[in-house]
Amino acid sequence: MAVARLRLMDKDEENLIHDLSLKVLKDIGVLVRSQSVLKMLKEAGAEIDDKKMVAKISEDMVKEALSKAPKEILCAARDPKYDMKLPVQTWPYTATTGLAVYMKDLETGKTRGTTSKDLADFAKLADAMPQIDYFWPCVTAGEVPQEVHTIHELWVSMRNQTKHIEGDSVNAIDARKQIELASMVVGGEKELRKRPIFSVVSCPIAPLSFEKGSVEGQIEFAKAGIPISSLSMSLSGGSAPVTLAGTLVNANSENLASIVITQTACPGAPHIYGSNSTPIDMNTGNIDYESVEQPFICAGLGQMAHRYRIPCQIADWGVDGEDLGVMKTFCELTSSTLTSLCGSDLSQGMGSWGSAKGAALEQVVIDAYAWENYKQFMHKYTISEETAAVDVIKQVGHAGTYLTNPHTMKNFRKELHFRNKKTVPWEATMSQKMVPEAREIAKKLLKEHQVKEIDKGIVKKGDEFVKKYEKSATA
Amino acid sequence: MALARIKFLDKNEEDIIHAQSLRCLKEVGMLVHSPKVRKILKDAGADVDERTEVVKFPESLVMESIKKTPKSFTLYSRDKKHDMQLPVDGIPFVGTTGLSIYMTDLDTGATRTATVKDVGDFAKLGDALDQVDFVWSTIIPRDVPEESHTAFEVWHSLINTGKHHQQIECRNEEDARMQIKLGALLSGGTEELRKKPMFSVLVSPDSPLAMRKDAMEAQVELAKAGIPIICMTMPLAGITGPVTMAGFLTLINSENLGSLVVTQLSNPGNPHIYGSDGVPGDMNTGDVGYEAPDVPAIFAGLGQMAKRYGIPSIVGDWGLCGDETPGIGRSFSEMSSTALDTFSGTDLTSGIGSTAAAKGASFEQMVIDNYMWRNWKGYLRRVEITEEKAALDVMKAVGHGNTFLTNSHTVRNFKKELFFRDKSHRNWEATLSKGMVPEAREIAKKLLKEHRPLPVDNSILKEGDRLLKDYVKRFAC
Repeated sequence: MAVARLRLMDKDEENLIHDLSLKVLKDIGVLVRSQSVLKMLKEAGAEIDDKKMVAKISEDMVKEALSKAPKEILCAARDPKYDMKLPVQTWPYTATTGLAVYMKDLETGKTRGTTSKDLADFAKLADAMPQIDYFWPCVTAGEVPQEVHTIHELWVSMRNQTKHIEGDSVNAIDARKQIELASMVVGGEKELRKRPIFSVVSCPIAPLSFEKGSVEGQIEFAKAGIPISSLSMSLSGGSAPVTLAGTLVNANSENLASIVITQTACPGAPHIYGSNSTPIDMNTGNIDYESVEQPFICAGLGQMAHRYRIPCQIADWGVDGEDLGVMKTFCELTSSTLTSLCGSDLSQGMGSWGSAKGAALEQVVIDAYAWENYKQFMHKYTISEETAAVDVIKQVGHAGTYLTNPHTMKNFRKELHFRNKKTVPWEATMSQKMVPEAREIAKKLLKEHQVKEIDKGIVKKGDEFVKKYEKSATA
Repeated sequence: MALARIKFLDKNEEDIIHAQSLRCLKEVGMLVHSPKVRKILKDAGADVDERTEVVKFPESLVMESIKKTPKSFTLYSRDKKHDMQLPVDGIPFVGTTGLSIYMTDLDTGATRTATVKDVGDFAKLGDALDQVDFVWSTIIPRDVPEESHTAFEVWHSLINTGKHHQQIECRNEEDARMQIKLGALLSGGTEELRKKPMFSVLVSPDSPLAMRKDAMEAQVELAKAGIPIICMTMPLAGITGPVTMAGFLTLINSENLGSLVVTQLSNPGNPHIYGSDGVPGDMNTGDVGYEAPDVPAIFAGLGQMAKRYGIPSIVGDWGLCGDETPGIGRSFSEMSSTALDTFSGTDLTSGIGSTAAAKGASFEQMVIDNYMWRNWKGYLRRVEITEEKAALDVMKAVGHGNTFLTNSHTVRNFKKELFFRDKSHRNWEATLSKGMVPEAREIAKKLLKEHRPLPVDNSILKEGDRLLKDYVKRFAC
């Protein structure tokens, strides 16, 4: 089966990135700001500098971890029809943006802070839109105590939509609470392990370090069978070397180290190779999601993940601009869209604006519609003697027409792909014209869409559980 | 050196397309209307049916011809600084659009047919625009007899640009001789032209699997004179080609291989370029579906086949106007189809200045597409992946959790490693917009007024005009 993929490196270059990553892990190591994780790594054979909290990881440890990491992962959903099986064969599964701190009010159009109620709306909209495959909690629950925002966000997300959720790893206690809460919904921890209805992002901090809280949370999640995505943020020129090769080595090394941590804590635990790496803007110091190099980084890391046969999350989707609509130029937009051709299994970003600090319901609708058209580039075609159809070529003969041949009628819907022409005017770059229309669609869906509810008894128990945790965490 | 390219077929699938193409040429063959070309093929061992005019190609003949086709060569120019070495090592060379039948008037904005003066102006603007690497015969002049338009295109393009010229279409043997004569005049003789041909010619089979008498005889004549041949087959999937992806690739590949056999039998070792502009037919309208979502995969597949044979290719378009009037009147995902084509691994691409699916041409659009290409090239460049560039020593020096921003490695390398876009015309990149057209119009006008292509000696100009004057006489009545 043939599918269009963006590729960057030849075999030798792939080997080089792999070899140099092993060298980084062995010679430079990773900074792990957790005594317990350092101890675990030491027992597994890593060379630890206790004072510096640096763990040097041998090639053997990496090899072993890679052999234990599952090659296929189920990201289950509360409604099984939305289950996602990784790796994908065609286009990546795509999610909303995550944890924005402000949004556009759907009624007034004003920019304002966000609450759980808003998150519930985003969840409901994501549930209603078939173009969205899984859910990142789009906005922060701003009204709850900072220490417990993640659990609130998970709970709101579980209640208000039925697709797979990807949340965050904050610390070990929080991780346990998230696991317990999700277990209530699916009917126990054993059930959750079989059908993890959520996964978590556990970011290494580039360059080459792991924060205490998130890495200790990662251990808990691994033990519970919750998929972990090690989304490296290697920013060329900032948290990674400015050279493309250096950025690839940095992001690859962080992923390998994170896989070692997961597999040491719990062999066979699902782990997703991840990245959200791009250069920084050399004029402003901001993260440059429209850089020309971002597709190169994604294509290169896609190749590395495929080499290790680990499912991956290295693509973005969304036309994030300084305001709602499509506020970027064609060449800028292309940077993020090309990332979807890198062979990623998961991507995210729908609904984002203001460099992911903001989210908007209108933008979720706009990004989802654009994705519907864009993903057509990643269809899978069968290339076989049969589809090559030399017999049909013979029948039609020289200078004849295929239009009237039954082969065309039989196959054209399977082989050719058609865009949704209704939303073509929504694809104007540097324009906000589509926003009012998208707003009406968002409003209508929020009003009419019914989310499959969680059993009332469980909702009550969950509410009490969250409240209790909040009390103890803030005491 | 690393290069971002779309890969579509795996090795096994490439093998299938190759094997089925050989089968197609052997079992279905090509309809060759020219007795002369049939004889050439028969003498080389092809199986010829004189009654049906069908020629079947044995595998050995095809493989032999692939072997004879040069794997690298130069497309020369009148001004040698514009010579193009194929295959490319990164960014493909980009050319203007070709064989348009109407144009947008630069002063009135009205759609009209073109004259010989316009032919020269398109070449001149192509010469002036920094991103244009070579020019196609952009538009058909209507103020000369139809039989002679191609000869006029060759001459008036070549004298108005120092860049390589690709002539779209050669009508017949006689036309081929005339084109060679004009080229030789500028080169300083037929032998000089053979050594450094400053133009090449697109001659293609008609899909499916047919070779017109006149065009094929012209191809033989041109190849004999050492002129590089570009086979650009243009089937439409579902209309003049199979609708299945595999069938479509097989047909295009077969036609390319058939064409290459003719070139190599005419003049072994003659430069020949593998090409196609085959896309799906629009199943609603029967039109050419240049923006269909399937197009990038088609071009990527063909790019892989050309690479497999080691033959330089032209499989991918550049040119962002799909509308009747200049501007960027297509949506983002439609434009992406064109943009993704350029990742096919092609050596040449063309289409700058095209409007209305290549039926029209526009000076304003040339300026817009030129600007867009400057920014687009960033994606197609080569990047070094080496131990040195991976910079482990720098990673060690920076240490865990620290910043590279202040490290001298960043300062030293960022201009080399990162690509900075030209943001001066940011508003030109809006899709579904014609906002940039007035600005582009002023630039086109200024360049046409002020730009001076490398001059041609007056006596040569006179001689060329005289040759053409004599040439049209025979078509006058």
